[in-house]
Amino acid sequence: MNSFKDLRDAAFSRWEALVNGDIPVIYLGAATCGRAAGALDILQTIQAFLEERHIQARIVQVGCIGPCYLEPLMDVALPGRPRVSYANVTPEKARKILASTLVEGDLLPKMARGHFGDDAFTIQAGIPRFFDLPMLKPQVRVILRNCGLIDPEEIDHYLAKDGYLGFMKVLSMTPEQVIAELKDSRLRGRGGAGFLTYKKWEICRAASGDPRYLKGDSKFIICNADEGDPGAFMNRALIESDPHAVLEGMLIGGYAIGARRGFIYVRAEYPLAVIRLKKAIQQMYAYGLLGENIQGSVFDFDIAIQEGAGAFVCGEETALIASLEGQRGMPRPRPPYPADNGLYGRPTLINNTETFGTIPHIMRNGGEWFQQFGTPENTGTKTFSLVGKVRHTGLIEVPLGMTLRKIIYEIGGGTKKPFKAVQTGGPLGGCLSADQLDVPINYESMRANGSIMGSGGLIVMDEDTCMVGMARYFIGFAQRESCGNCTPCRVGTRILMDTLDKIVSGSGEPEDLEILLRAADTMNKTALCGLGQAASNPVTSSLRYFRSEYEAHISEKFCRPAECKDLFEYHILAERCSGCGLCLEVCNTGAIQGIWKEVHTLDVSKCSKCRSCVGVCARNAITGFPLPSFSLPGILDGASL
Amino acid sequence: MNVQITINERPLKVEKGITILQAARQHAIYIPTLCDYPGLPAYGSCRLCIVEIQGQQNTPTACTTPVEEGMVILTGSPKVQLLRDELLKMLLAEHPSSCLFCPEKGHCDECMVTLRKAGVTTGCRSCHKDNQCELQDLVEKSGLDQVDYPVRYRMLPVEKNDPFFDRDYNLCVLCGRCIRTCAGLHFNNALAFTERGTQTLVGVAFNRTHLEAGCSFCGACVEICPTGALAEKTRKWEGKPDQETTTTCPLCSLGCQMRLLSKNNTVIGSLPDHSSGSDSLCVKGRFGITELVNHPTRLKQPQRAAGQSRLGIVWDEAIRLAAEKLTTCPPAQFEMIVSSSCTNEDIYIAQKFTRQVMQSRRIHTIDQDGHADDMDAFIKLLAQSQPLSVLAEAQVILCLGLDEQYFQSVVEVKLHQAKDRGARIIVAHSQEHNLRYYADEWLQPLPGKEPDLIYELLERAGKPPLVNSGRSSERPVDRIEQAARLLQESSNITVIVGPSFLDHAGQARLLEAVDRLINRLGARVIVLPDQGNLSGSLLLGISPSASTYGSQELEVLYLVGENVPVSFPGHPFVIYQNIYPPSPGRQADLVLPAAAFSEEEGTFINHAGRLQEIHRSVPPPGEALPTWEILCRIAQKMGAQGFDYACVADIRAEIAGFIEGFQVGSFVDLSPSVLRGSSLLRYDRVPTWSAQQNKKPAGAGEADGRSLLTRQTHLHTYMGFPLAQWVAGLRQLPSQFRGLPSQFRGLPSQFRGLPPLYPDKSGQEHV
Repeated sequence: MNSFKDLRDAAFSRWEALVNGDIPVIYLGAATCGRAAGALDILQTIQAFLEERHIQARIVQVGCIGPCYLEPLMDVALPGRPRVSYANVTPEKARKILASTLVEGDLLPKMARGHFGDDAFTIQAGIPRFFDLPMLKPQVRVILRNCGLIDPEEIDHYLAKDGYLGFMKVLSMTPEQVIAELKDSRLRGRGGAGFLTYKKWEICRAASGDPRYLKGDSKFIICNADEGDPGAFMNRALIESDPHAVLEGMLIGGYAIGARRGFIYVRAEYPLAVIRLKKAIQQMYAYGLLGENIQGSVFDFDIAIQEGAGAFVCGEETALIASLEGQRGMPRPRPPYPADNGLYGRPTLINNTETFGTIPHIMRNGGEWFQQFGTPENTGTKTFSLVGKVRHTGLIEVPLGMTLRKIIYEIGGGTKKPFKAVQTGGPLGGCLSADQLDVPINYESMRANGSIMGSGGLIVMDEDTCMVGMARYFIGFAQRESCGNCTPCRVGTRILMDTLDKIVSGSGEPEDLEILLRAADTMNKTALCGLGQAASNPVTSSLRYFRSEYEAHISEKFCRPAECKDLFEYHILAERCSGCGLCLEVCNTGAIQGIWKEVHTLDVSKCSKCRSCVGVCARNAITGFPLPSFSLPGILDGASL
Repeated sequence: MNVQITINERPLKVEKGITILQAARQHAIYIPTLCDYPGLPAYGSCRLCIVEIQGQQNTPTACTTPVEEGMVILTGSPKVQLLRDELLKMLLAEHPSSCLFCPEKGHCDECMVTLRKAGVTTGCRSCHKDNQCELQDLVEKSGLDQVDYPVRYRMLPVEKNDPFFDRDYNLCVLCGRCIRTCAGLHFNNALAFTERGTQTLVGVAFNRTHLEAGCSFCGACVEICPTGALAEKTRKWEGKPDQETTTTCPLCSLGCQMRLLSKNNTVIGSLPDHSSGSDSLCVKGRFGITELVNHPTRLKQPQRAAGQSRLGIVWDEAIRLAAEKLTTCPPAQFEMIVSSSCTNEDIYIAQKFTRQVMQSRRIHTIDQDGHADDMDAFIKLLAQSQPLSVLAEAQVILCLGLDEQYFQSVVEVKLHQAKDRGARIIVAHSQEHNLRYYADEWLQPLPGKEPDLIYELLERAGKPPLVNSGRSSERPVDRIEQAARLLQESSNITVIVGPSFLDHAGQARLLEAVDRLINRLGARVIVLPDQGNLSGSLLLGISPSASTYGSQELEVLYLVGENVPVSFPGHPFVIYQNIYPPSPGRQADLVLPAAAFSEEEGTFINHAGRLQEIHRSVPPPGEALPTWEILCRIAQKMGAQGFDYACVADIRAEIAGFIEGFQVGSFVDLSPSVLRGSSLLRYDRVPTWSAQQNKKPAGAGEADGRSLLTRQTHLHTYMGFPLAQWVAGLRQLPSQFRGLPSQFRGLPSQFRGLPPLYPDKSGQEHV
């Protein structure tokens, strides 16, 4: 077995050969996000192009660099020049870029989005630095530092970027020193609850374990990669783009608590993540970073992958453990906590993917280094998935304590229509209104404002979003995903759902708001697990900040964004209709009839209220009218919808 | 170690490590619960037991939170009370509850006589669990007067496909008790939660029936269900029992203690008697009793034959007729057959009647007839039999011919407990059955080859192990070898000998083999015959008959708790004394109605020799009388002395004079020396006719495996009749059809072929 130094040196030279070699390198963002945007088509185009023109170039499939709105991203690095990034690439565009860069040496400054070189190159080429883009400039990349820059399927790339240095440092420390280092960093669990990570580690370290089992097998480590929140993809992106960081974190955890075996519980809906993890684990075995006597030490460690079967509740740690044991994924009462009595009744350290992904950086740079980011109580950086009606969607990493305003307006580029609310913490989180935009993001402030940090989803909503409908969407999710075990969650979500259904269908009564609040409060105070306790957050927070909207639904049967279809029927305003026929094309039910250049008509009895026509009409001619049965006079102005 | 806590301002010293709920219960502080059940691990699903703990923001559940030093707990603070009411409302929002808050609820029963005919339970008044429902109790105690949450009715059809109990999951509150008791206490895992979220339900995997899912129908889930979701078919509309009688189950030699529930002098159900340590009953005792003792064909009046039919007569005439026939009957032409389902007292009086009044020795039971040739070996084995509690210490358990899934599911639970504890289980059974799925070794002899298996096991256990060194020429270490090693290595072995070994054709050799195995291993043995009081019949002088019989004709055949044989030598006068009528077409000249076990006092001796009491729970139907009383009346009519017993206790006292240790609760020695020693209860072999008749088909299984004649060895019987004849549900259990090709399993019963409607005890079909 080669020593770690040899491995690292070899990795360096390979990396050097890649970035400073004499053939061009084409980097393609081919994580799931890129692929969804069409990266694999681009890949074929590149391959075809290189073959046609007999050009020698290397293609490197990198992970996700963050800005989803720019996907698919293709970077070209000509020998001796830095990587230059091109956004929203289509096959045609790709051919054009490749033709001019590889053949003509013209970097197409107008098309280029950014480069990865130094400032001198900025002036020279007239292309901004990629990390100076408005979305990226305010970010601090610690966890995501390798994402999008290295090939996630190459352990050498990770090694060349100082990978496994933290673990090697840890091997020379005692487990107690490792935990002390972690304590210094004041890292808090990134799964959402925000407990200090070192405390879990300390309890697990101290837990005696079951003497019946072999040395080391008396404790376990679990990495929770069961990221089930709608609109959250931080863990997926991290695993797909830099799997070794997570695995290194688990290795360090195993060493620190004295476990011999680790499990990654990853969603089966993340097939690419599973493939990359499997590859990474194979490479680790090949490099002597897993197995027995790792790197000549007395430390043995194995990692196994378990794919979840798609239950959101299995992201709750006790339910995850039950699922891992082969039981129905249902949360168990705590105490006993997993740190004392977890998988198969043995002390188990269970941390979020991002927590494990942060550990190597802390170990490599020291706990104090980590404290420079964030605020004293909320140290470090945190990744968020910024989605919704914001201009620049994507995966971001910011120091804790940054305000929501900065995230949404600087990083996210603001919203096209006026901002209305942001849902933080996924379906179990709450929404915050424009008044809360100056709240710095940290565990305490989120809770104080009726939301949670969660694992880090930020869903931005603009004026077009009905808050009642939003709450109903998330409650529907919680209702479907509840394990059905405890009364408040099983029945409570159903009560909330039924009541919200009533409100959005126009039969709401003033008492319903009180019922919503009461049921939500009961769930919050009495449910067995985090899912049940937090499931009502979307309702309580939206009621807190947007009560008037609920009241409008109830008393006036009116939904300003006209999202609650039952409250409206749609008509075409003859004076605005130009007879362009766009609405006719998108109507699936045959409700719209008309001849080109003549006013179209909409048959209400056939209309399914899908709102497709509203979306395509350039003249706002298709408008929702409050239903006559609600006897509300007046017509809504289409422009305001 | 103790900790100091305060509950509701009461300072308490409680044991460390217990939960708040346990602490409160120890000090009689009421905390409402629904999903909690004694013996089941804390689960925390209903959340009703929430309490307030000073210094804690949230309201944890008392059932899952362990006490800690200095905890200050409030169980009924306004905050807790409010949340608890909300939780209760949530439960009621998914459970038909209109009656709970109906202003007319007090007057409902008077006006709505036929309400309960509704197929759907929409409120308490139309629920069979009315007044026995824990949810109803909770609502009453909480004083809740309305549910303002949107309600939901699940609109599920009531599941009635399985025998014995119906399931109406519209009423289920998903406390999970049934699932947890099935998995945790009865190790069956037939039930689980299905679906999730609001759709969550209790059910069986893949929507199969309980029968297909391997439910053993022990009924523990039905007993534990707090609401009306699970309902015994027979007891469904009986309401709340007005009396509970602790008694002994007479349906097999285990003699489980049970509670007979009765209402208006009718038995309406049976439950295990938890107070005597009996955790469960098997399907027979749990669901069979009601139908058995309340069967509409029960005899209610004496009858005498009149041509092709029978005429009802009064007791005096019946006694006179019997006395008349018996007085003129020569001793050599009298024969009495007694069922081993009768109590000791009945059996004692029967044999006293035969020996003293009739001066005959021809009294026997059909159950013993099969053991005619090997009675000594059988009694020797039975005398060593130990109670089931020895399984708690066994390291290796060898089950011989035990068939435990349905009819002795009580044993299955103990086996699982032992297995959980680390004991190893070896099974020897010629047929595939449930036990083999969790046994460490399954040894499957060809039917009829069981003795050879035991001998081989015996031989191998005495030899050094065969080592498989990996060379292919060597014999592989097989199952028998592995079983033998297990037996050899363990110092604490228990052997269970089940019904199919005891009833085995050619069992002399088998029982001898088993006996030698037990002695060699120094093992304890548990012998489990099917018959309820076989030990009692042996002890009380009912001897096995010799299997040769002359050509002598019978003049009177007296059947006590036995069915009438198909044919017999000569043309005797048949006195038939039983609780059911004889099979149609059989000759019965005088029919005397007897009391079932639920209607008389008495004792049984179980498989371990323990004397256990049965108690009268209800009066006998019509004019039926206890067996002993009928015999005594006839004896007195015939002028015999010594039959003037006032009650069963007198008879018991008389028996105690003959048999040492004949006291309720004590273990009676069954060893052969004691049995032969007593003067009255002579153990002698007299050739009887019926023994000849019931001889086992010898040599079954001697065939070389090409064609094999086997027979269903143990049809579980009561008073001479197969239970399945009276208990409809038992006919659906698959063990009756064991041996059928698998494609027939799982079909509705009508396609599988029912057992003969009136099978004779010996397995012959009545034509």
